[in-house]
Amino acid sequence: MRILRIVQARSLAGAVLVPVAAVVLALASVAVLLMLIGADPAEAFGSMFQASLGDPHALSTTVTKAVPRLVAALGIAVAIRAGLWNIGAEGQIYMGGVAATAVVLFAPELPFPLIPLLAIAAAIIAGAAWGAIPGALRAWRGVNEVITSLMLVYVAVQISRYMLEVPWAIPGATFPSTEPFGSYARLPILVPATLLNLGAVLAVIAAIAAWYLVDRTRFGLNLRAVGGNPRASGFLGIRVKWMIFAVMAISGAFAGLAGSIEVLGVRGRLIEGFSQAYGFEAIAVALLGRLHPAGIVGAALLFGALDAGGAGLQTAARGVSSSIVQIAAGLSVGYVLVGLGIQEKFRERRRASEALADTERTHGVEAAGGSSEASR
Amino acid sequence: MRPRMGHLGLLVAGAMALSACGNGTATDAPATDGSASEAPASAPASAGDEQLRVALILPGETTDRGFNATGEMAADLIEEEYGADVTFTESVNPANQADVYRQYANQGYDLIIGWGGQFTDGAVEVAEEFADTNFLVVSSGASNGSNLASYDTAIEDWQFLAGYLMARLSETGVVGQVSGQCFPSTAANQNGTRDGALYANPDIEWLATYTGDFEDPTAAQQAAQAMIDEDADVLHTNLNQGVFGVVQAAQDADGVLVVTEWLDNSDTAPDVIVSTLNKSYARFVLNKVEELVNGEWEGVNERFPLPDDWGPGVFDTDLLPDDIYEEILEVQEQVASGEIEVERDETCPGQ
Repeated sequence: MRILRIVQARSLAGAVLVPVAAVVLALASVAVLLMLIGADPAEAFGSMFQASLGDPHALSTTVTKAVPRLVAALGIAVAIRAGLWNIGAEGQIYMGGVAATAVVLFAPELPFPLIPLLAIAAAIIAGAAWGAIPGALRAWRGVNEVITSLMLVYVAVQISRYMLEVPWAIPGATFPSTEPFGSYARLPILVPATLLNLGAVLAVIAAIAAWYLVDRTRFGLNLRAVGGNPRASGFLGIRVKWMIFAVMAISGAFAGLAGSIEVLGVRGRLIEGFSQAYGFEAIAVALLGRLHPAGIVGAALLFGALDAGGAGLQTAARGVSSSIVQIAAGLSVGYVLVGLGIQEKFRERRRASEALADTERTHGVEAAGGSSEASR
Repeated sequence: MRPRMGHLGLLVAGAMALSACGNGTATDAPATDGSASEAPASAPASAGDEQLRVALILPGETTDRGFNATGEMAADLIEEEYGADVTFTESVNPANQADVYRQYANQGYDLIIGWGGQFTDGAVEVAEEFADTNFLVVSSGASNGSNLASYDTAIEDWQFLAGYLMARLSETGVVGQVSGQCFPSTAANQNGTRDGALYANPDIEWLATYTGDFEDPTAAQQAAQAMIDEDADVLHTNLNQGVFGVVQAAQDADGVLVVTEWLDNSDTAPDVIVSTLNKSYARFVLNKVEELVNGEWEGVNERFPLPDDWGPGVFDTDLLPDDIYEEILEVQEQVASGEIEVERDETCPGQ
């Protein structure tokens, strides 16, 4: 898959340089936009900084905003490395949230870690199931997973909406949501007076698990083989169809986990629209993070900071829409892809010139033997 | 967009200044109180550290020439009257309200106003976390006795006029209202319109829909179309951006009229907008800010009935027959004086 060759980083410097340059460029573009609409960029960025990194509370907001994007992006990256596009993480997040809520609402009140554990397990299973549907359709029916996973987002969102508006509806409520969960069912806050909850720890564990699964296990090796060349993998004895099915389910499981963290940790209840397109932004996070868990953590923190800062931006200049921040996020991803494209072009050119040099050497200086190998 | 807003802002500010003067007490009170810390009315924003900082949370965009525009009016009024530093966030998704409340509270705003009953839950939640910040939700019933207050209008008083007008205008005998979400104050809104229509014509056929989203014009258009298919010829709305869908449906049909709400916006569709119900929460918000400035803030819920000095409850247009306009003003007088008692019905469908 060409996208894999382009997006995956080959060196640490390259991995960091392109995204950082892209983010700087994106912020510079936003500064120009701010000036065009008559706002003071310095003041605007100042308040964005204050609202995202300025104090412990702001910092915890950034982390909390990063977590769902991070966890869902891990799953998306796993799928891309197997050559699959899971566009439906948003729907898998919703199914995770609904499943976790169902456990909280129907299970009796048990001592602390039990209900969250059960709820998270249910969310992971629900997310996996929602990811497995497009996986099965792709594996055994050849249906494009991009379309089916995307379409299932709308089904999931409406299932969540139905649950909130019919069986779990609260009469007289001003917005569709369940009652707040009791503390026995919630992921506890880790640092008092901040929003930082246990979900952040779960996210880090998920990142390590994703790295281990893909880069350190036999399953991961097969997964990468399928991503590199499905036909050849088949000849190597890998059961490609089962692999596709399993990878999509695993991808969905991560998103389901993200949904349960959002419901049990951040909001403490199921609320309509609890995922603000986190599952879609996670695709950008996965690409910006160059498909590596460490990179994804960084990219998710950036998106979290932009999200938290966006609310701060509006206080700097009245009438400045927070959508300007979404422009920054979008431009970052855009610039990264452009940067990667340019990098790839340079690489191709270098490969071509090296190949030329090699040919010249092997033809011109036969006596030197295999020295061309050393010159690389 | 901006120049038009400026023009509208002027017009609206003028109207509000008029009604505020009519109210009298709101602007005069600080002077008679004589406390030194208070800024006189329309003082420049230079009170230094003592400057009042106010933030509003709006559900849609201030360019909607409706509910959100009245939110901007409220911001302007507070700025002018108290020299306050006033900011607002537009298009806040109700699912994110707690974040936005928290963000403002964390930045040290003195008063955070949720502009719409859909912003109740977040205020309740965050008011507990930030005891030194005051929270006010309009069109809501929430309060906590300390830093969370809310107010509502007896919206059924106003809606009664819209319903009466619709029934008087209808030739088919079928009228309807498209609303967004249903919660107590929006239910009182829709049911108030119904009661006004039935008062004017007990045989009127009343249609009502909640689309579930104030901001979705497509859903609103479908709902309006369904009503038109059932012979409705006058429609009313309780929507933000969604209103454009209802106007579109009316324009696509033949002989269907729309009564809009909040601000006179008939020039946006002069062929179908027959009148606009003249409502606003902006005037009442000053009462609460006044309390805060005077140290008299109470975390209570208040409900304001239709004042007798409100001015015309509906806006006149070329489409609106003069005799019906005069009739509405008479009904308005009767409602404001209590001669007609409008009951408040907060029942949502399926309850």
